[in-house]
Amino acid sequence: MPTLVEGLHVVNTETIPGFTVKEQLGVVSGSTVRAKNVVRDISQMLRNIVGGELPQYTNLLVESRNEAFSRMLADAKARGANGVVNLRFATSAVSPGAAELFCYGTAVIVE
Amino acid sequence: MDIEAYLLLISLVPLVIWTALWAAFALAYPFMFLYGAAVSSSRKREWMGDILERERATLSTMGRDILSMDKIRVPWTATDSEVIWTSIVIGPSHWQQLIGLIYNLLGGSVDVYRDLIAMGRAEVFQRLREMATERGFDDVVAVRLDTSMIGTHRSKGRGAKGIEIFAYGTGIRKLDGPESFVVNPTS
Repeated sequence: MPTLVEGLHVVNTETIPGFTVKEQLGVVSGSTVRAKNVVRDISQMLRNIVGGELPQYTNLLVESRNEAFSRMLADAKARGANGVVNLRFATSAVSPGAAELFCYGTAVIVE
Repeated sequence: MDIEAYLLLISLVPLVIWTALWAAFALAYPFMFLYGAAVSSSRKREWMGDILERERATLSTMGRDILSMDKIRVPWTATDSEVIWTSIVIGPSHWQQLIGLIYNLLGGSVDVYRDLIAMGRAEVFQRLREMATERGFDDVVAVRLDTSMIGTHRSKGRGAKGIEIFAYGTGIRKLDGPESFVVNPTS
């Protein structure tokens, strides 16, 4: 989970409090497809028998989401944006054992 | 012994290790399964108590629930904002999966899963609150929830099955002043 992101205002509301949207630069997105690794999988499988939280998977998904997020930020920066509004996340299981994490939003210039 | 016998022995080693691991697993599995079944309700109570306690702690420091789904009504006194997110992956124990399977045959409400997911949601909301207060946000608006299954498409049914619950929202800091909202500030 990155802290305030390299000078970009990223929110999932339609406007950024305290700023006005001057220009919108289209939809930016970032994604990543991650597979579980075998060692993690075995340890989590054992944990799964007893039940409860699977912390390795939580971490794995957090890492992957951060990656998708930073890709989206790179896209926004490349367009010269200084903010992203209406951010959304989506997750889909694309193949057995792998998940796609996707995030998208509207790149904007705010003042 | 000649060299061929050695080679044969060495080539058998991975097989032996593999078999030993599976044997150990097969021996341990019933105990783990029973342990999971035995502690499932007490664990649930513990977890629920833990969540309630933390919720109370946040409520008493903030005075109100800071999460809201408001998207357009943003307090105009807000100065600083940033998207925050958090998630949890929970795995139903094999005992719970078995009960779920039985319910699947009989139909009806599958309470084991409902409880598990409801508590996962409560946990993830609480994590969002804690994350927001840690970073000094006064409010979290436009909170959204996303639930997805991971590792459930395995053809052999091996591997862990997890339910991921993911929550995100925009944390905002407010200036002191009267509470006031602006509706659709763009127009």
